[in-house]
Amino acid sequence: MTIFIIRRILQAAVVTLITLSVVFVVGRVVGDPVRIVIGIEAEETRVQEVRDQLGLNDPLTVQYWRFMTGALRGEMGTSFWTRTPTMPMVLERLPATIYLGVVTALLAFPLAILLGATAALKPHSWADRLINVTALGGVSIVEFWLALMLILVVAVQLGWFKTSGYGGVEYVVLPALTLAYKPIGRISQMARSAIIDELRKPYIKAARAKGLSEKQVVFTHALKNAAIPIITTTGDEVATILNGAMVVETVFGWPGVGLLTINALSRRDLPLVEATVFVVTGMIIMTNMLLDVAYTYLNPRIRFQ
Amino acid sequence: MRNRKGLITISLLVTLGVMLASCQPQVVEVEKVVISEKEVPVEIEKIVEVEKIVKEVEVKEVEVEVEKIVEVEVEKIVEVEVEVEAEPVTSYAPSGEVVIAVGIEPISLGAWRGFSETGCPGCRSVTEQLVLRNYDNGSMMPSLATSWERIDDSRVRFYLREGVNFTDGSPFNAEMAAVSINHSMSAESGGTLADYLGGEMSAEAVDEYTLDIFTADPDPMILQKMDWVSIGSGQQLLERLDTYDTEIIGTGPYMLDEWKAGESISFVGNPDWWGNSSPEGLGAVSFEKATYRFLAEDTVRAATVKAGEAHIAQYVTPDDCKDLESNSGTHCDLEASVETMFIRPDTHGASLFSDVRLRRALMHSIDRQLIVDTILGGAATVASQICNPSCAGHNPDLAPVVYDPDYAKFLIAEAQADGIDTSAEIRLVARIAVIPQIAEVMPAIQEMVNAVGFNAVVEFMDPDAFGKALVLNWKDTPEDRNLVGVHLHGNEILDWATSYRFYMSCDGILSVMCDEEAERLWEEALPLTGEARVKKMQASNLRVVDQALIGHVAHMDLAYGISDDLDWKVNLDHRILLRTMKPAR
Amino acid sequence: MNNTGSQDFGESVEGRPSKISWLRYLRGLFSDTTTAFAIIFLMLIFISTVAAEVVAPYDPIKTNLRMRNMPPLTPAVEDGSFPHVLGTDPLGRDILSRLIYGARVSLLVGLSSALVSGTLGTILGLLAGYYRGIVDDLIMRLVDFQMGFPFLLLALLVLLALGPGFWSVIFVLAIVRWMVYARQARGMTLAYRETPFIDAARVLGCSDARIIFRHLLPNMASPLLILGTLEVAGLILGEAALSFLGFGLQPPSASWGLMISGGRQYLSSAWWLATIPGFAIFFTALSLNMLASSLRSITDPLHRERWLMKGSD
Repeated sequence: MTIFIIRRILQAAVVTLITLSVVFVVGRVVGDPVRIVIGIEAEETRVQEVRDQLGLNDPLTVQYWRFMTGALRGEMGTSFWTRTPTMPMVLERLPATIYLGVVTALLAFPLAILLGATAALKPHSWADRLINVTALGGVSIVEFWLALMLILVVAVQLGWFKTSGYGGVEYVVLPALTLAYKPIGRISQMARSAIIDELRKPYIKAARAKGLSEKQVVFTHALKNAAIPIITTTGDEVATILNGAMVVETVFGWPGVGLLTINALSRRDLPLVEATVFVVTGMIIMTNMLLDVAYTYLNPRIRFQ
Repeated sequence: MRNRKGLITISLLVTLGVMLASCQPQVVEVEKVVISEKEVPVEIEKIVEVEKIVKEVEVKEVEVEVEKIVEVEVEKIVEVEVEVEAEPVTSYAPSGEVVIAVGIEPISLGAWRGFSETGCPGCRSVTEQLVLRNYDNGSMMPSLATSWERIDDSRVRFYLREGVNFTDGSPFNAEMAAVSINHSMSAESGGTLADYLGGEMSAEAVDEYTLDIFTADPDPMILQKMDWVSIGSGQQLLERLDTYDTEIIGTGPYMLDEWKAGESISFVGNPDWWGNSSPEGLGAVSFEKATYRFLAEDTVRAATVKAGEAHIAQYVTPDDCKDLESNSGTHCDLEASVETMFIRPDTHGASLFSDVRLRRALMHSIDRQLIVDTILGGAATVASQICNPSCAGHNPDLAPVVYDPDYAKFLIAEAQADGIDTSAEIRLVARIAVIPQIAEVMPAIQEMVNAVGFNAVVEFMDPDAFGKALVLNWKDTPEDRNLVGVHLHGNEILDWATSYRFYMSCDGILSVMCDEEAERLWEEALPLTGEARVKKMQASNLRVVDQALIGHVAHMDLAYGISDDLDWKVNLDHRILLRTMKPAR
Repeated sequence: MNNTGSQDFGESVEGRPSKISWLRYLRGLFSDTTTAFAIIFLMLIFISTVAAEVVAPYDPIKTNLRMRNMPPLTPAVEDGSFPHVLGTDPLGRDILSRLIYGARVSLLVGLSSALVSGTLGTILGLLAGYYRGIVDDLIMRLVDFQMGFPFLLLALLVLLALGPGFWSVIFVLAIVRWMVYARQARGMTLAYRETPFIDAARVLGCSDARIIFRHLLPNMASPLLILGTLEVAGLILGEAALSFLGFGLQPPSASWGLMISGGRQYLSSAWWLATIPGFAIFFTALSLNMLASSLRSITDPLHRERWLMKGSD
């Protein structure tokens, strides 16, 4: 187990190193950010001054070394725009994204599993078909369009929730719903097929033989064992949520990492982009390691090895 | 007692002035003159003196009279109020919160950024300026400076308001003002402000309340430019520079409360604001709290006002504007801005548009009125020149280029007859997402231009590519690229010479033209002042337009969605100033 | 593996028939109502895309500013012309025609990036599964990471370096999605690697290349095709998200994503501008997803029976 964890940590380190290098390369290929920083009407001498200040005139190797050693210390340079260290800027935004992500997960998982299990109860029934189409709708919809429609219809016309902004229930529901639709679609399908697979197993026959109702069989027995394959896909759903967060946070004005990333990208603020990628990478690696542990714990076959 | 009455006067000046204008003044006897009599006339005299030099005497004198009348009336009104309400009210009585949805989050709250409304939303409610520009008539009004005089072509002396404190407790005086201004103008602030104002300026304290602003080269616009220079706490710059970008400290009606990154900036009223007891504050603190929320999506900003979550939505689209206007509980304010959409063809070398006939054909082929009426939703005015009527150097004799496709075809045929290959490809270039509706304006222009026989393609560029293609002087520009840039130019300084320097002068960093006569007239205008300067600029302007060296599409309006709960109207300067707003009712 | 099974399906002989005609698959698919709708919808889209010049009632770039933002079912200006069934956009261009031409761009982006990423991913997956060892380790670590990394962020990073444009978008979407094919191809390679028919080929002296391309690849075709179908849907949505964020295609190109993105500022005054292309993407992606899920069942030996039995009724 310890060896396993150490291996995972080493792997994570290598992946981080590669990501950082990619980000660095991308950063240097990108066109001159200085004009964007100090305005299109600035004089050339001023442009050179700022380039010097930002260290953009140093040799690439020097820049790379500075970049990587900085990253090791958790320092990702200072923002081109605000001239302040970028790591605190990103970390400050992290809670908002985690909050949104957790609410999304809390909405998505129970609902998806409920839908999946209901569909699995009677495969090929009308309920199953309806759930199937709903689920596929989730992975087929254009997120930003859905977000805007929810704002205009649910928030403005019906007045049920706030149009935008950061805060409690009335603020978080709409962005979380928008974000949750895609994972709901995927997880419910996954749950459905996992439960159907479980239902073929002998212990289910035993349960049925005991005289349990089909509902009890599905929701108490099959579901518990189907949880393992469902959890293994959660890692990928984290990426889906982060993907959506960039779009959804922008539309709803949600002050998270996704919005920060989009702002940083459109302002060509390379150090800030680098820092967000660093943090996002770290987040994903952490989640996956946690999931590994959860997986090990849930699966007795691995636990007792 | 006297002081308290002063406070009363001011609060009522703004909050009740309009409503009580219908009162019957003859019933009331003026018993006391509340505002110190010896101060006001002195200031007015000085203003008049300065303005005489700028030769706007008539306008100014009329205004002074109007001001006097207003003051007298207010005095009367105050007496009425005091008599009716036996209890004296405090002039600083803010309540509730005002919420404003803006598009862009600032990157810093450094005091110097207050020159731009989008660059530092709300900042001008915290920091103040020496003088303020009256956008209705171009005159200057006192703010932190109570009066001023022009020493010579490159130096203006300001007499500062006494007894004013920054909200960090430090006093406002000439020395501190100089520290702040010099910091703002220096390269320490990135030099952006200096670039923006077109040249550096320096400040120097003469004595405790006398401040000189001077430039290296003669500059007749020093006084006007001071409207863009916000004054933050000098003590902060000297002792706590590290807080400069995150904590804006000024002397103004509101103080920074909290900046929530990615979400909002909020401000709270400043009970010690000098304007609470002076009509020169031009407003009042009506809200306990003011919050600026950042929402990048135009639709969502408009939705916040519609849903009653915000009182003002900055820059809504013309269509949302109409929607908010027809919606109950909200309305929309549309106001002309200093932004002008212009067309800049390469005019040198082997470019098609080195030929004046083809330039004219290009200009005549575009139906500006149709673009304004349809795509821009009426939220613009057809432009005849680079800056709008409020700017110095605007030539009132110039009319917008007539849409005349037949004449354009004729000109093209003429050029063709001279052996010019008019079928060469023209690249119509714009930057992504800078101009509202640019994605629609460009194809419309393309079709109009092609309808008369040109061969134009549309290209949208990212900021980087656009910079490389357009931020070039003609000497560094490839000779045969037939590039026509469509872009937006904001002449905030309201001075034509500034636009010329960037986009039209022989050495301008964005200029792809060099016309000897226009250049000569411009150079002659620069050191002049007043009417002589304006005349020269108008002549140069005429020359540029006549030669079709640069084209113009429209002066853009900007729209604001406003809740009916708020009493506020946007001004020509497009600044959302908290002191100018109050709850409706 | 029995390659000479009976063509006739449905008999309860031991051992399933291994060769079923395409026609029968098709009949099976059409027997399911929703799947039939999906296929018909996709075919309609495909035909109108190929024959856009014939099908589209108007020139998609012909503007008519006097006819801007007309709601659906607006009659044409000239008598006898086709009405603007889906309305017009802010430049007075016919939305139906733009939708048909926009489909060309959106589908081309979706299909070509799926093709590029599919080829790349499958090859890498095959190599990883076949050779194992360090190659496998390297490729799979990258796959694992990219699986967990938000692909939009990666796409934006690369687009920042490349600059926006049609080919950049295709390239970017291809390189951010290769890993799903790699994972699937590797998994299947590992499974087949130890099966007797591969052993046999090896014993017969087949080269690695021959084993990979002649024996392994054909056996993976249908799952990879299904995956590809799903991916096309995802990529069309990805293109839309990139357009929204301003990093994707730029006008005057007209993709569905750009149409929604451009129409979004008119949502409260002219809802159809963004909503119609929104539905176009939604139904296309939905159809692709449904087709993929039906294909999965029909090619899965466990579920196939039900589909084909129904088809042969």
